[in-house]
Amino acid sequence: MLINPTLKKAATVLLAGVLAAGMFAGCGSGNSGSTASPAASSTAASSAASTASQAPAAGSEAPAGEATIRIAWWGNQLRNDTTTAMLNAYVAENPHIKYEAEFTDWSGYWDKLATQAASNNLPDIIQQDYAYIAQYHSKGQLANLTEQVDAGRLDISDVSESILSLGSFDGQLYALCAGVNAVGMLYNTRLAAEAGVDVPLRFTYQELMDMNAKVFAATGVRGETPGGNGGITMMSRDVGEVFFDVANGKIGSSEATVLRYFQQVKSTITSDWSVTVDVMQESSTAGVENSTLSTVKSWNTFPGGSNMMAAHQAPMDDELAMVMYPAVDDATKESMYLRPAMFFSITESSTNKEAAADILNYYTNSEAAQDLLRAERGVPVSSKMADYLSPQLEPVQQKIFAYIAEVTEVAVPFDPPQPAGANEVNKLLDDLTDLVRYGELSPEDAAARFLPEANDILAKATA
Amino acid sequence: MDTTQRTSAVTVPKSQRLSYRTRKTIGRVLYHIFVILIGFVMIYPLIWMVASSFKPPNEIFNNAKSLIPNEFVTYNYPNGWKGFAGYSFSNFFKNSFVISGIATLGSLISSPFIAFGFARLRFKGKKLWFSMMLLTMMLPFQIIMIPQYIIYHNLGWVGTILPLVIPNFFGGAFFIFLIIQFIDGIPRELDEAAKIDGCSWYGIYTRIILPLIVPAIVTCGIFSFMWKWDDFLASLLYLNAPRQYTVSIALKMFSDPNSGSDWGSMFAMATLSILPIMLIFIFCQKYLVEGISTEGLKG
Amino acid sequence: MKAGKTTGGPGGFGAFINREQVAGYVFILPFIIGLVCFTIIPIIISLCLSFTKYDILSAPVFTGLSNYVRMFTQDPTFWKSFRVTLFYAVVSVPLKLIMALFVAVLFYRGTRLTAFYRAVYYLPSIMGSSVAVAVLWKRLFAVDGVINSLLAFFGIDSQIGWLSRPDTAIWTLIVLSVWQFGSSMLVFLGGLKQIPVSLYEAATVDGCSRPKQFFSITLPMLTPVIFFNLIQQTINAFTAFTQSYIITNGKPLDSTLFYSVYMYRRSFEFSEMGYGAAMAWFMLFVVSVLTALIFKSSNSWVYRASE
Repeated sequence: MLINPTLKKAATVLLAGVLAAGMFAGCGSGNSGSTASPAASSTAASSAASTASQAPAAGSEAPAGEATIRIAWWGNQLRNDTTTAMLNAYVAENPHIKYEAEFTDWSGYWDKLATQAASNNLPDIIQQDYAYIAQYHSKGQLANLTEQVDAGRLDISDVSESILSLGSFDGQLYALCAGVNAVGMLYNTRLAAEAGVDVPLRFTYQELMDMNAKVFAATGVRGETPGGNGGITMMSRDVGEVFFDVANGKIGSSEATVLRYFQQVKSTITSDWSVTVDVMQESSTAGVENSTLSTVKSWNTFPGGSNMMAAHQAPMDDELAMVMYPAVDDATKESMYLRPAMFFSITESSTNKEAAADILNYYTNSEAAQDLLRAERGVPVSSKMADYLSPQLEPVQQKIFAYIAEVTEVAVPFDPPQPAGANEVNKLLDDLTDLVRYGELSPEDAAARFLPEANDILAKATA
Repeated sequence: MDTTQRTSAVTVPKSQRLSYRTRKTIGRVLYHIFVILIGFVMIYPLIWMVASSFKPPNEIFNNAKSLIPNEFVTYNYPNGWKGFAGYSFSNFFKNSFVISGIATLGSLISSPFIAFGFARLRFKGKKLWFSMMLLTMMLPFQIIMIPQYIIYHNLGWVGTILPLVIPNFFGGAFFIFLIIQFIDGIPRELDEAAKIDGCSWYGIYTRIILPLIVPAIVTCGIFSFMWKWDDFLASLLYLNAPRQYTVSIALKMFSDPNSGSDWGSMFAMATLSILPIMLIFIFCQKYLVEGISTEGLKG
Repeated sequence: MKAGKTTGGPGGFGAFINREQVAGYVFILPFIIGLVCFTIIPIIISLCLSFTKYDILSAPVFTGLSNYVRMFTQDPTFWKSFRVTLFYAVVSVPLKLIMALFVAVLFYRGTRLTAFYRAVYYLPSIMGSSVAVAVLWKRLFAVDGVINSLLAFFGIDSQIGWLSRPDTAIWTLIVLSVWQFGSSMLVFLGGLKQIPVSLYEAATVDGCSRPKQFFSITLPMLTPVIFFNLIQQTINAFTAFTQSYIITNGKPLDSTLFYSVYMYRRSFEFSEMGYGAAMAWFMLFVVSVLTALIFKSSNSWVYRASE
């Protein structure tokens, strides 16, 4: 960013009104066979844009330390309320800081973020997801948080190394976990009791299928097994493989694992206890409240994270419980892990990184903040804060805390953040899974297609 | 009842009346039964939504088939109305009204004016501009979204309602096209006559054409208001602060696929959100059909 | 721009501004300004982007025609989504227009009761395509939904999830489209309004029956608005997005994957804005050709009072 100020100004003038000269340059210079110049001009464009956006702040000649922090997240009513309450408490303690909250729903959030990134207009703090941080980091959009830690503005001494590593690249922290989560199986305790099934904390796929069959025979309520990215990721981890082998830019799961995954899909869907493919499809686009578990169409399900237990429980009369993910019958490795419910990052374009870091510090380490946030984003990452908050929570949240504590005992580190192209690979996996479920493709054919096509996507995405 | 209906109806031939009276009565009853039945099917989903807004959240999906709540509750309305983080729906409704209102005003000022130029005047390059206009109708919004955003960002408009309303003052392709179709239906002799009387093009527009295309303008007004009211993506992109959010953005925020969704509040607010458009339609349709009538076209 | 301006003396500004060539441009000037500022530039940029690899977060890289080549030769999903959209358009547009015209004619007369019916039939269109409609549609066509209960009432035991079967899912979206026929109906109503009553009076005197009047007066006089609705709905169907995006998201097995949903997925979810732009341009080409064809054909069937 060491660009001569006059040059910057010239660029601003040049680009003002009409835009995206970077894009035009991209087209034009491509013709001359050079790729260096579009990048350069776009850097000029972006720094020009960022000066432009800083101008008002600088122009108002605010006293030192005064800042307005823009903070963006996705969420529902509850999260919007709790997070703003926390921010209000923060600014009450720090009157020189103002904040602008930009909360939206999940799908709109990423469109908005991408569009803001394209014009260098990202908020100072953004909520991030595991599926996106690698992409945003590799494009230089995220600020290095280790610098803030070293400067003493962000205290992470009560956060375990394995949790920090989830948001780190090359040993530097770029995304701070906003809450801890773990995968597992949710099940309906009433149905399990009726069927005389004693669900153990840990079990294998074979045991899971037996339980499904037993519950179905006794109660008529069907059962599920894991599928999609969650399923194959854990199957791979069971045998010491990593689904996204980020270091080598390919799929790390072996052919045998992939085949095993698709065979499991097939054997589930052809079992009489399985939720039908029609119902499965419906639940895939329905909200949590309308899930197979919450509407008692199945006795169990495999949510994306333990924080979803509360939402599943809310519309139900029956009590839910959570146990760990099934392991393949010949598992050789521990596969359970703690994962981020979501992250907070400071953006590289932020001009108020210090103030932003202070807010994250408050979020992570302040008891007052925990009182207001009430673990809505998952168990607090700071062990001290988790211990502080736990006794005050409602029963279902205490169950989540207890489950996280159990997983913490055995957890091993999670896979590295998903690489660019991961969304498309996951889509491919879902498509092939659907094809097998609909009987359009044999597990063998699906497996034979998956690896080459997925590797191809990853190669293209990182090219 | 029968006779009053007949007098106001314009197309019923008087000669047929007596001879088919009995048959017609039976026909009429059948007709109303048919229309009401189909009408019920048409609005069933709407009734379902309203019914759901009076169910407790855990009943909405577990008792989905019934239109009558097992337990009738009204708390979804105050719950939803209080909105998010201190911004209530009165705020969101106000924003929606302001944005939809200004945008509609803009469209209604500019679109008939532009349409007249396309429909009545002959000038070089008209074909080109006309095809350009059609082209803008065909353009999927998602694809010009990012370039447009960058332009508005450079203009300093992001975070204000300007990107959502200003473009409307330059005419909407759909409205221009619709009005052109209506102007095409007006005999040219009318403006030729006015021309001979010394009327300028601008005079012909304001005095002859404008009064005749009022139904088309009302139609455009309804559409413009409704589409702005429903618009989600553009509003989301350009409005940053929650206090600026519109109803359509706010409705989406009741649900989150990864955590809980408050469907009861969502249905309650969705029910309220269609009320303004419903009222506008009920008010305007009278105007559309009974309003200026046909005397302008006696030709 | 008022008529008063033209009084500026013969041969002066008034005459200049009233020359047909000039006045034409005065009238369409707002449109031209808006077009250049808010549409042309973005369109050109999107054309430029279609020759690049652009992931939004970093600068675009020129890749020539590769997006287009890949689209036409290596992407079966592209063709799949194109076929889905084509099918959707071909089936839903005529159905919707017939429905709209039928209801418009049925409820045209200005009695209180018909006004009420009209409002009732228009209501679904007011709901737009919000989250509420999405949830509703899923409930309606679910395995344990209303449609199946209705079938069960007639003795048909259906365990079909209408949105879950590759062969039925697209039909639920077509039904949704036809259900929301209101905007076309309004345009038809406006058109009916314009038909001079004198025509019907004359026809009645000549002893024309009602159905005959419909085919010999109403239909021909309505052709300009039919034409408009046809163009508008065709374009709408080809660029349809929200219904598929919020209800099925292309599932199952891409059987409801609308073209613009796939384009959106490529652009934003897979961060291939360049590829998305190329797809947009192909869509623009297809729709322009179709529109041009409808325009060409219009000379032979659209009635114009002014010519």
